[in-house]
Amino acid sequence: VTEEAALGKRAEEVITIRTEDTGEPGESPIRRSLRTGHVVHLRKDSVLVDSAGKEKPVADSCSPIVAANGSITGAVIVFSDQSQERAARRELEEALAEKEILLRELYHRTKNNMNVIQSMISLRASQDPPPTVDDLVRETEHRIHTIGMVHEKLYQTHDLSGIDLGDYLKELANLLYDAYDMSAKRVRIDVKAEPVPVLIDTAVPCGLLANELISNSFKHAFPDDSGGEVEVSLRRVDDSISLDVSDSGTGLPKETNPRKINSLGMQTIILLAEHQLQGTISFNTDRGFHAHVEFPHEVYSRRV
Amino acid sequence: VKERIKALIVEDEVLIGLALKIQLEGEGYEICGPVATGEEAIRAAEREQPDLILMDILLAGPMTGLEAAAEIRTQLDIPIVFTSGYAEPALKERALAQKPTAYVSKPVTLTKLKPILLTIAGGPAV
Repeated sequence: VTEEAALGKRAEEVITIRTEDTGEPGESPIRRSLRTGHVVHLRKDSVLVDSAGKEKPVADSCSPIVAANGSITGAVIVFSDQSQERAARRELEEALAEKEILLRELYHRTKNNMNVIQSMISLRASQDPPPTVDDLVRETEHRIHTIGMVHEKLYQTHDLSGIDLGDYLKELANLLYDAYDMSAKRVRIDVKAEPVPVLIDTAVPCGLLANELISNSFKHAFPDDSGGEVEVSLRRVDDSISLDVSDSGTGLPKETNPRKINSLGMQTIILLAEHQLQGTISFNTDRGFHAHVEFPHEVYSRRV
Repeated sequence: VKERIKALIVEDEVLIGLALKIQLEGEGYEICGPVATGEEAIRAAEREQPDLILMDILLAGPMTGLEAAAEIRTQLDIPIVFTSGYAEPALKERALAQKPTAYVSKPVTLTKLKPILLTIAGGPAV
């Protein structure tokens, strides 16, 4: 504003201050300071409007000028630019809101995963004949570990959608390999897994599915110590994820359709693949046992 | 008199659904599912014509359990019991606004379900 444009005008006509949200002008700090004789501070969400109509976040204080005889002769108003401070505050508020949602979602999933573990124990225990205590404990341990590893992976990501499925499957396969002591049985494991970032909601059922398939091969495919190989592969194909688990073991008796095996393990595998992951699963038992699973990358929409 | 009560389980955590199925089968119920999406739930309800539906209010895929239930209700008169692991009050309110036969918080146990199922069936399952 030039001196000529300002001279002789009321302060409100030269300096336009509004609140950021409502655009209300409120009482001019100059007028209030002159009226009360006190230092006046602006509201925290004030903006100063320049001659082109552009708003700038500001903080200010307005002090009355008091003459020796006590009369008020004028006022001094000082503005400071608050653009950066206010942008930083907004960013912080948004980050906090995001973290709150993240925490709530995480609580929900932790509770949910506990329910899944509880269901798996109850399922296995309800079988006839019941499993031995050794088997039940070992399987439960692996399933808890399978889910626990996903939660561990959350440390490495900043949200619930960045879990690297490939990395996770490698760790899971190696964990099971050691747990079943397969090197002593001269069985090798080969994991070829591309990095595929997925949501926790996909990682958990996929981990449980891989756990069932890999454990089945380790437990049943190599009854003697003649050795062999288990291969795990994970690939991203367009909008789908493809998971293969195969072994060079004894396979199934001739003419057996794996889908018709009425075991809890097979029911679990088919339900996880076809319903929870909304994919397809096919089996090949020509040589050893091979399961091929394909499921959409975005089964679950991203919630956080 | 119907000999066996038939229930459809809709639950996107399929292992939770499977455990519930086996427990209910042990109680003499005939169970279809579990299915994990709203679309599957609608198809299964039409195909199987169950006597009741246990519906998780949040599901995998684009459709929620609440939406699937509303859709099923336009075609079929089947009692629907909502189940939920989400403690969000707003979500529960939306579920209750549909006036379901019952609303059960997870974990869904036989103890919680039995009295509801008995009321729906009008007597114990055979």
